[in-house]
Amino acid sequence: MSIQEPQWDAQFQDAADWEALETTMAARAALKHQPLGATFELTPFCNLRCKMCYVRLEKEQAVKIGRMLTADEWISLADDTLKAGTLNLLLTGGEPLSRPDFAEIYTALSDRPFVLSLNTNAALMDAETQALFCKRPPSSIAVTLYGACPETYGKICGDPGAFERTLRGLEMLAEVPTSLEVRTTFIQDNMHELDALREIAARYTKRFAINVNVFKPIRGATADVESCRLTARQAMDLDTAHRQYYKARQKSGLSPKEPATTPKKGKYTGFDLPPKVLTCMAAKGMYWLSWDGRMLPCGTFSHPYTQPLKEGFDAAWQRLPTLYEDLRLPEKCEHCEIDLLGCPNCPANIQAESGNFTDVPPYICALAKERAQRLGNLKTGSTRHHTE
Amino acid sequence: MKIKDGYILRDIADSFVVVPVGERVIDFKGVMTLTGIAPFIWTQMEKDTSREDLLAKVLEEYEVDGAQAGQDIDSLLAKMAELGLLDT
Repeated sequence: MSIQEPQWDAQFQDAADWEALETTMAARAALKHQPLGATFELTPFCNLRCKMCYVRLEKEQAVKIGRMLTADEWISLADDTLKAGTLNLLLTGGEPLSRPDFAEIYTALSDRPFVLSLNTNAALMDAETQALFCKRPPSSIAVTLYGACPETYGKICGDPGAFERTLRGLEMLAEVPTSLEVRTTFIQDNMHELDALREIAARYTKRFAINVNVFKPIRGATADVESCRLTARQAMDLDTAHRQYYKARQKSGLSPKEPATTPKKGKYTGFDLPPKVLTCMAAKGMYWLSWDGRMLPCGTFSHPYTQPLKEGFDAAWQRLPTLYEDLRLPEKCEHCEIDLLGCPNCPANIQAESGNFTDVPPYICALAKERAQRLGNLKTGSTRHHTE
Repeated sequence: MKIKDGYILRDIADSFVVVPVGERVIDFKGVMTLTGIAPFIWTQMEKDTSREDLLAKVLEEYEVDGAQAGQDIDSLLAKMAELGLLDT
C-alpha cells in the first residue's frame, strides 16, 4: 500500500459530535446494506401496566406467542451482530431491568465494542444496578416519565407508587456518567402536565423529549389506546407548546440548543434503496430483534420477519429487505391531498393501526391533516377543513 | 508503549472506529474515528512497541518521507498521550 502524502488524522468524538458521525456512517451502512444499528427487545414484560403501551405482554399472552430468548442466546446474537458490523445497540423492552439476568446480559454486551444505549422506566433502579452502570456506563440512557405526580402514575401505569420509585431511579441515573434523556408519551391522562414534567426532567438532565402520537398495540399486545390517546388536534397543540417553550428560551438565551426530538421521518430519504416504501433506515442499516428472536425492520412492525437463530444472522439480515420489496403504500395515500413527507403513514404505523398494509387508518389521516393545516402544506387547491 | 486495554478498533461501513468497552467507557466517552494510516499505527500499538519500531514499520509499509513520518508519529503519539490512551 502506498499513498501520495502522509495522512495521520485521528479524530476523537465526544458524545455531542457523535451524532454527526453516526449520520454519515448510517448513510454508508445503508448504501452497503450493513446492519449498523440494532435494537434488542430483551423482554415483553414490564413492572408497569401503562394503558397505552404498544408492546407489553402478560405472561399468559407471551407463552402463546413464543419463547423468551435466554441470556446466552442474546449474547450469542450479539457476537453475530458484531461480526456483521453492528455498532449501535439499543436495549429496550418491555422493561429491560425486569429481567432477573439483566446484569449478566448487560455486562457481556458492555464488554463488546458496541455503542450501548438503554431505554428504561427507571422504577426498578437499585443500588446494584446503579453500581453496574457507574462501572460500565452505557453511552446513553432514556427514561420514560409518565406523569408528574402519583395520581397520574396511578391512572396511566396502574401504580401510584411508581412515581416516587421513578424519581429515585432518576436520581440514581443522574449520577451515572452517561447521556441521560427524559421522555414522556402523552395521552389524555397526562396532557395537562407538560410544564410539570419538563420541570421534573430538568432536575436530572437538559434533554427532555416528548411523544404525542400513540399507535395501536402490536405483536399480540392488547392495550386500548383508542380510549386514551390524544386527538390529532391535542397532539399538535402539545407539540406546538413544547416547541414554543424552547423557542422562547432560545430567544432569551436560556436554551442554547433545540430540544431533543424524535428523529424526523425522511431524514435519510434520497437513498432510494430497497425496500423503497421504507423511507428510513429500517432493514437498510437498522433492525429490531424481538424478545422471541424475530428480526424486523423496526419495532413497530409485527410481520413479515426473519429468524436469525434459525436461519443464521447473515441470512436473516440479507433476507429481511426482500420481504418488504413488493410492499406499497395504500392507493389512497398515493392520491392524498397532503404532502406525504409530513405524514406518519409509514407501513409500520399503517400495519399497527389497520392490521394490514392496505387500509388507510383514520387516526393517521387525522394526524396528517391536522399537521398539514397548521403548517400549510396541503397541496394546492385544497382547503378542506378536518374535523375530529 | 502500547494502547491501553479496553479500546477496540473496528472497521465499519468504510470507517475505522475505536470503541471503548467495559470500564474504559468511563475514561473515554464517545468513539474515535481513525483515518489515513492512523489505523495502521493503532494496530501496531495494540502490542508493546517503541517509537523507533513504529517508524520502521511505517516506512516499510508506506512510501513516505522518513522525517515527515517521524514528525507525524510524534504528533499522533502526543495526541494519544493527552487523551490518556497509552500505557507507557
